[in-house]
Amino acid sequence: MENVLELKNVTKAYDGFMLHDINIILPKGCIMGFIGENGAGKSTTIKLILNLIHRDSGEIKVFGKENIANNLEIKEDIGVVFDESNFPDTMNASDVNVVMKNIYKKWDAPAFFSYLTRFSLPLKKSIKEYSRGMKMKLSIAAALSHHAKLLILDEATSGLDPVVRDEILDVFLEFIQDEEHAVFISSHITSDLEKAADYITLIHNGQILFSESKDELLDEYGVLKCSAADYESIDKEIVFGCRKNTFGVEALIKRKALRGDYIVDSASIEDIMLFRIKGEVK
Amino acid sequence: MKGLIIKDLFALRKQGKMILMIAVFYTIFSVFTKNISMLGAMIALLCTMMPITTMSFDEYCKWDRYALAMPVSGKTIVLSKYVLGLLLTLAGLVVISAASIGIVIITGEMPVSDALFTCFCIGVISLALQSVLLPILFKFGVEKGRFLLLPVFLIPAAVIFLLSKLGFTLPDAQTLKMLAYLSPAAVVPLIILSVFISIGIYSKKEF
Repeated sequence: MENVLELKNVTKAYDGFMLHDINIILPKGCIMGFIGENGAGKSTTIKLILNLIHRDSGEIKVFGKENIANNLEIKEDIGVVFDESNFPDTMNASDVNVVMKNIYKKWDAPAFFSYLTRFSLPLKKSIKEYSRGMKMKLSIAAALSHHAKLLILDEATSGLDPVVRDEILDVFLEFIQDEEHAVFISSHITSDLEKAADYITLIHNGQILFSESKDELLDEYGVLKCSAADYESIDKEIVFGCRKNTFGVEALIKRKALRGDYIVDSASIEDIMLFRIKGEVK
Repeated sequence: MKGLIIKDLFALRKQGKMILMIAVFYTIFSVFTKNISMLGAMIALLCTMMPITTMSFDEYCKWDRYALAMPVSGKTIVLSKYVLGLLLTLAGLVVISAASIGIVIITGEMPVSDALFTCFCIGVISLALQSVLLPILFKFGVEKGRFLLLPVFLIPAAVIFLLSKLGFTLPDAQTLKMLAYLSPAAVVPLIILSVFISIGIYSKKEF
């Protein structure tokens, strides 16, 4: 089993929205950042992986096993963090331990308590009194304390301050030290993914625009800055979106294919996302 | 399953204190009024409502989605609500039986055997109500399902009222007692049917 997660031609139609032929491959030992606008289909894709909704067609394999037929077996090895804490807020962290111990076969209470200490989460305070950051940390502690091999995070870092986000990213990087592990993280905070991710997958209007290694992406794309006249002379085949303003043109281009003497800045993941989604090629 | 029920009990902890206070209040109340039926009815109503309360907590914090992302099947989630209802009803019965015995000994309102019979009837009714309510709540969710609770309570009352208006005399006490003893034979299949309906409804849900 080399791939932790494989989606092949997965389709799901809703009234007014459709997830088209989703293909994603996440090799073990890697972190994949799953980016896209709100409503692009990130959560829907994650729900399909977790078998929370029924797919119309296609194939999903987790740890090399078909996800519906092996539903419960697979879930023992997945840790999930959604965009909010899903425990009733009258519970406290030590209650969470008791509940999870009775749900996961491999629940590791000492590991859970050590995460609580590390995140400075109080044991007896009810979740109601937690801040948003604390709630997310509790969910992450819960997701990491049953020896999961795959961590799936749906917008888990959005709404958190940079300090907490950084702390959480460190935990993911630690988790990924084990070669058998993998992380699939959906987010619209692209800077986080720039720090941590090995692969970036961009989804737009229910379709995957690309799913590539981050280094290749950053290597491949550049932001060209030139005058409108210069822009006209460039082959539009290598342009993936542009922004025009009074000072000239900014365009996302394939760096290596560009001939001539131009100013090309390196593109961030955010640039790539914005240009690919919003920029027009004219 | 065990984890889910423990979670529900944790979530209900606050309610537990309130129930205790209500129970104490109605116990005192029933001693003074020499009428245990209020105490029984209140406890039965609370026990019936408990699984529903946990479902509204679940809805609020999107627990089901989270639980289904864990090694928990939809079937287990559905069953856990029935088991919780059964456990709470049994616990409630133990409490009201004990309280009723104590009260009727003090007040002499009725023989102990009659008091226990009343408790037994309350238990059966509570389970029957849960069997009707749970599929409705699984189907419509607690928010919308709540509005359907009233008809569920009112329709049987209305039917009995109408029947008596139309000249049907209620069966005499002896027959009613017979029916009550036979009622578990009807409630058990009702619960089983209800479980299957709920599982069917739940498997079609998307989260």
